[in-house]
Amino acid sequence: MKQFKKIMFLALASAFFLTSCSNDDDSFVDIPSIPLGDYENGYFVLNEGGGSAATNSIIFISNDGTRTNDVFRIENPDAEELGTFIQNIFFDDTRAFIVAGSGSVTVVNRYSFEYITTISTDLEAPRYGVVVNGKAYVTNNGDFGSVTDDFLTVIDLSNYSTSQVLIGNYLDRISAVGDKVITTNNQYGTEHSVSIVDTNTLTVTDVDLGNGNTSNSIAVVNDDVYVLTGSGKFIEIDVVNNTVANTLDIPASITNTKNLDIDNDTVYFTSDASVYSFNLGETTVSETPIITYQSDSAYGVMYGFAVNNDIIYIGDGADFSSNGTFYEYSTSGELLSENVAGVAPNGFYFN
Amino acid sequence: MKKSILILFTIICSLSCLAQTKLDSIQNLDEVILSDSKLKTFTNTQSVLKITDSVIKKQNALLTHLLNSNTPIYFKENGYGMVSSASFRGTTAQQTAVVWNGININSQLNGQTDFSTVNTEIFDNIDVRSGGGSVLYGSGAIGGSVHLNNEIRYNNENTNYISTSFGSFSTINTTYKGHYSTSKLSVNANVSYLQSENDYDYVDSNRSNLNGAFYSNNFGLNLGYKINDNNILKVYSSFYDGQRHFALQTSTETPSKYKNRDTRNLIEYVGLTDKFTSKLKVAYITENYKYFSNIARDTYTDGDVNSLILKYDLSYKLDDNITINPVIDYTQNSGKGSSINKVKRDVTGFNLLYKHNIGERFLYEITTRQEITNNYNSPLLYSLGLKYSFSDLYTLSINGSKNYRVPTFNDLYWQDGGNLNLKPENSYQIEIGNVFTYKNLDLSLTGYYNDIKDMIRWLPTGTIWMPINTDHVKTYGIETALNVKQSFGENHLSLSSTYAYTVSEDQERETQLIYVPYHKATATLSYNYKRLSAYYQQLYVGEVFTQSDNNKKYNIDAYYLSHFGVDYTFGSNKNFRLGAQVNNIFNHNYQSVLGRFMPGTHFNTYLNFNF
Repeated sequence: MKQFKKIMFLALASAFFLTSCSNDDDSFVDIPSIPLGDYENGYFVLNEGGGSAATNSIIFISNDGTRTNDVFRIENPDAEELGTFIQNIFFDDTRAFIVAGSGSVTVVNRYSFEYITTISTDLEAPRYGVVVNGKAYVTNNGDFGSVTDDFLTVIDLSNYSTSQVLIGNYLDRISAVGDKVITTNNQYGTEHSVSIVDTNTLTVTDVDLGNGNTSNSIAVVNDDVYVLTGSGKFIEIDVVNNTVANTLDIPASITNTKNLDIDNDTVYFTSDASVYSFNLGETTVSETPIITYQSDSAYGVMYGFAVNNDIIYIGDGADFSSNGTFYEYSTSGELLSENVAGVAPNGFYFN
Repeated sequence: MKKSILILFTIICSLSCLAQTKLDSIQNLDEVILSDSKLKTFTNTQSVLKITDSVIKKQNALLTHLLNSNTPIYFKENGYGMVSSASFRGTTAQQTAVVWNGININSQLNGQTDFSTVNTEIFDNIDVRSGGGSVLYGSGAIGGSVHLNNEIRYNNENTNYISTSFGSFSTINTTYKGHYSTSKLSVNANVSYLQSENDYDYVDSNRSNLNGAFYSNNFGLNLGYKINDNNILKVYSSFYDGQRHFALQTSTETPSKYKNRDTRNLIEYVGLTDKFTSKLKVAYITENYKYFSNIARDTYTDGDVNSLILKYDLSYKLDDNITINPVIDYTQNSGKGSSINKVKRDVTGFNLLYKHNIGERFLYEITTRQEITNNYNSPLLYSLGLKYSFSDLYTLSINGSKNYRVPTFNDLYWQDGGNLNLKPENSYQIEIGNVFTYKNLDLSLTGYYNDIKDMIRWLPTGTIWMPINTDHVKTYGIETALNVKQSFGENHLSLSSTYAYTVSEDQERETQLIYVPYHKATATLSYNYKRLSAYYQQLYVGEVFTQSDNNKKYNIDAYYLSHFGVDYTFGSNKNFRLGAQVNNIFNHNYQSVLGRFMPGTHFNTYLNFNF
């Protein structure tokens, strides 16, 4: 994908170069000479917002550092609000899908953020999504009072029609590998399994992680699936045999582990206001954090977290009733930038 | 349900009694006895704003709209008719007590009253008491209290009142009130039904209010019986059942709905002797809610609390000028719900109230309360008030008090996170009131200062959220009320107006609390000529912050609302009154809560029939 993008970019750049050189020849005008969109190169900061839809926002930071606030509203001034509690953005090649906890997925062009459509059927308290073979799979909590009604929404991305697959287990994060999707279950409760769904047959298989091991984050690298539990287990899941393949114990001194991400074969996770890392394949984890940042937030510490191309992104939720902060750090722990976020920055997504 | 059938049955019986009784020709003096007598005897040094039934009848039936238009209290409303909470003198939603016939009815679950679930039509008058009153009215009486009163009159009258109104957004309200009395017995029944499609168009937008429909049913029966001159028995009962679909902010939201049911029953015995007035009250109050997060499903989360209150109140007149009034009360609340295991709490309280008039001009009153309970550490509550009338023109009063808001069932017992170590929120406050009276003009001007500590907020500790005593807020400000009446021959004019300036500062952040406007003003100008009456009402609510850092980007603009109404009385006995109202005349686009758009110009018509 990255390679493809580079080639595309080269092709476009050369086309642009050629057109600008030729004053007389109009035949080049028909060749697309513009980039894919204003938001082609950089990352989005998703700000969840509070109980009012007006308080959510999406910030874009381009590779040259230029910041655009409120991308969705700027590009779509007449569109309806995205909903309340913007939870997640996921992508396919050309589209971005913005999940709002109030029950919708808004589809926009990935690079121009131009509005395409809104999906609001078969969604109830949706959380995260992923795309596999032209279909999107979105986790839903359903009724908060019930754990057993949680389901996946399947969205056919050719016509945006929807259907449901009942999982019956509190659903949260989701990732894909091959034709399968894997969900982490019950981040805030006591459930201790992940669910694996074969997207061809829609059969659901649970993999037990053992008592007390509730997974809260998931990462897929080279077709290998890893989850992190709050109890300090870094677990590789075998999605062929539906078993636990490997478990690495994080030292007990590091508590409430969360926010797993893997970048360039390095595993990152957080505990309170600290970031820890180790190389994929290592069997021990250092108790020394690579970053500890200062937060005044009583409960918004590490509310958003991601690592991409050796840059660590941290979102701090402050008090959830005012603007938060987001930080960029190098993997050696050097602060690269500190920026004002919107309300409750909960995620970073890369174009 | 059994209870409601019983109430219905009683109402039907009393109606048939009404039909059979002939009008007694003997006219006794109106004798009105309020159950909430403390509002008279021990509220001399704080201001009380009275809303009479003629004002109640002018407004739509929702308590939030009545108080928003006529008092300095600020209201949030999640869209028209939706969940509504008060901020009185810059305090939080749990710091206004709502009192039904003398009994505090704030929810035991969340500590507040939803002002959209109270139908005003069934009350005879409503009083708004500014400032602390926890000794008399319990938890939450920090900013002030709102008193919903039913009167029991023994005036040998037999009257019936039917009101039916029809307004914009398919809003229908029908109310019946029947009153039957002899010099010994008083029977007062009321029934009110309110429903609305509530599907208004947003102003300056092609969108409209979706999933906002609501209805509610009210039944009430209030009885008084004078066994003899010295022994009186009174019964108050009220039943409320309502359902609201919660309006959507965006059309893509999952629609939800909320049902709630409240029953309130109070039996009171009053014994009078020369110097003693003794009252024994037994009240049984229930609250229940069901929240359906998706109206397409049958599943819901719920909670309910039943409360039994016993109160013995003995007032003793030491001489003409001194009243001593000890009160003992016992409250037992038992609650359960989706996230609360069955739990009971008991509170026993001892009050001592003392009032002393010295001469015609000066009085002081002292009240104290101490509670005994295992559930929280209850502080000694007290108040001291002084009043001095310098002349007929000017009266000065000073009141200082300590008040509290106790942790709710949710705060204490929520699973997971409920914190049994919570202290009550507590407030020290002082106010100085000035009342000027000149001919047909009343002006009151009150300055206050309120220091509220240990305010409860839910914070995460590890993976669980827990309520913690954390915030410290100081509020201060000015409340004024101006009332003027003037007649020119048969033309009667009256103006009633309020203005509040409110500062409410979070001591840690040094910012104004969210959803507290610095300025709020109300004014109603009424005109009456023979059978014609009309009013013009103006409301101004200042800009509010919605973010704790006071980020102006998300402020809600100040709004003005103007309403106009006119009615005419027909019939040889003036039995019929036909009226019409235009609300938000200037089609102002406003929000009460960020992103919750309120209706533009809308209409209401009504026909009242007395017989």
